[in-house]
Amino acid sequence: MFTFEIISQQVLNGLLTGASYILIALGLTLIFGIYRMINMAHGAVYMWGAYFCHVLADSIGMNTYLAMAIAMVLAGLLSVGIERTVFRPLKGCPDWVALVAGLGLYYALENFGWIVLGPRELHIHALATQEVVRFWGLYANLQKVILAGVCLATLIGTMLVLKKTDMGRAMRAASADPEAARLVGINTERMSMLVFFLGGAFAAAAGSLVGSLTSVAPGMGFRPMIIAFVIVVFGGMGSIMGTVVAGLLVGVLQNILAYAVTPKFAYCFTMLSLLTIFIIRPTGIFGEDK
Amino acid sequence: MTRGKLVIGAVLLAYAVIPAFAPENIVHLMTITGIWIIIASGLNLLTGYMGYVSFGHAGFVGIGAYTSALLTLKFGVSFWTAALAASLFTALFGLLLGVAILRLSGIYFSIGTLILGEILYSIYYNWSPVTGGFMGLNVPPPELSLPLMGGVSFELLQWYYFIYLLVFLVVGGLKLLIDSHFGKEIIAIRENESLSQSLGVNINQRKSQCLAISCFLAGMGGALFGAFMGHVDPDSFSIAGSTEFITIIIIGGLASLMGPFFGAYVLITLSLYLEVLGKWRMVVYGLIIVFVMIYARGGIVGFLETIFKREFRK
Repeated sequence: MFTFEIISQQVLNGLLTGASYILIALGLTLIFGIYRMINMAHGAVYMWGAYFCHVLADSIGMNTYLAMAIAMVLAGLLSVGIERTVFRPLKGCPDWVALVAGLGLYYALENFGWIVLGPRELHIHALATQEVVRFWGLYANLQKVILAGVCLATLIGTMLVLKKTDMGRAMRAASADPEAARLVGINTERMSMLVFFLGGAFAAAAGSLVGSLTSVAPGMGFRPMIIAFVIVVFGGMGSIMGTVVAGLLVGVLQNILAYAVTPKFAYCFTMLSLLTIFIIRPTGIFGEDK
Repeated sequence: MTRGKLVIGAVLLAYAVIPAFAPENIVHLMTITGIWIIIASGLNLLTGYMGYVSFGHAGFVGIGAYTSALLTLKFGVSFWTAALAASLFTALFGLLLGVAILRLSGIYFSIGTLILGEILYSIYYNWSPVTGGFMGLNVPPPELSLPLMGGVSFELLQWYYFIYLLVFLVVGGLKLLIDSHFGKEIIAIRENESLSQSLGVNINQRKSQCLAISCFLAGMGGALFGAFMGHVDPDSFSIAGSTEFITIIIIGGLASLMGPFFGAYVLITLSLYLEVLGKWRMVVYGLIIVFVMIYARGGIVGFLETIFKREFRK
């Protein structure tokens, strides 16, 4: 039952699941880094991104990946709109206020989804979902491998931008000390818009790819958002490396638990283990000590 | 002071006579509102007075609802014993949980309770042999036998008076608690935790006790809600439910005894009027939460304070 092949297969599945979480969590991390706020409406952007992709790919008949790219832009704009209308007025409020407002907005957007999408499940047609990649005796769905590739490319791109470009340096400065960054002439408002745009786009990429593997439904964003949120906290709030490690860990943990215990309780046990670690070490595995 | 008593008397009288005029569905809705006031008052003690914002409160309500339902269904315990046992069990859960989760403070406490809420919801939803899964459980109506009158059926009217008697007792009890030394200490914890500790407040003990009381009221509300509705299902105890409770105490006004009262009525009335919006209802509901967060964090009590220039809270 617990042979090496099965375990390594579960770990691989876990890493691929983790990749989708990382894509969602990366946006949250970037937003948190600059904005010091947790965007709980992120799951709705993820869902709407997937829906945009469905409309472009299946109703209009575009190539799936082109549709995904356009959906990323649209979802990015949606995310920027959310920043302008909801989160900007809440700057300087206690942290939990943004949490409640974000959740409220999430419910509004999810239920708006119920009106637009209707009760049926929608699909994003992609040929890659039918292909299987085999290597070292392991199996992986091609679309999941593409998802992992997109995730890796996004990560490397983000890291390069943050480390090497002026814009990235400005972003890191705005994240380290917003006041001082403003003093030296960094436009922090533009930075905020940028991270919200990127966050929304990354979430849409994850939503489109996951949506093509399963289905697009109004409620699809809630759980991934909560998991991504936990990953961000767990990775030390605002640390990209922490987010990556935590994302992969959570993905693997969830898949192993689904196999070893029962799929039904995998989520519950994953959350329970994370809560336990969280209570012991609130600042996360990569965070600084309080 | 006499004016205050007069107002309380008038409100009590109004509540006593309302069922004589109001249509049945209004009485039904008011009874549910009463249960919400009990739960929200408990959350207000934790969040408004002590400053710990719980995003998992609906999960605690669920513990009370399921414990009470299971005790009546599987063990044949009478509703009254079951409801009391369920409230005490939820309080015990809060007390034990407090040892761990109260290590966290500020936003970390909120995150911890949010995760906990998800765990509890997932248990309610997935542990089908016990909780009935997404179908939930059907709860038999409570029976009451009085010494001389024999069995009394517990209909809407009895429920209404019973719930509002409890609301009165809970709000009165909380008033005594807030005015007591305990109340001053938890407010001190909200204002400055380390300072109050250095002044000799046993903060760990106070925080656990406060969480336990808050959970007791949540459990009680849950047990009442299950029996009144005749049904318990997981969707009432999700993060959405917790968000609703937080919104209630914010609409009403944090750290005010009357806050949950106003908040629950406003939210219930809103949801009643929003029925006409049909499927747009939940969209508008979510937007109202956003609106309250941006423009009305002082709540109704804060609004009344600015109008009447009088302190309604401490």
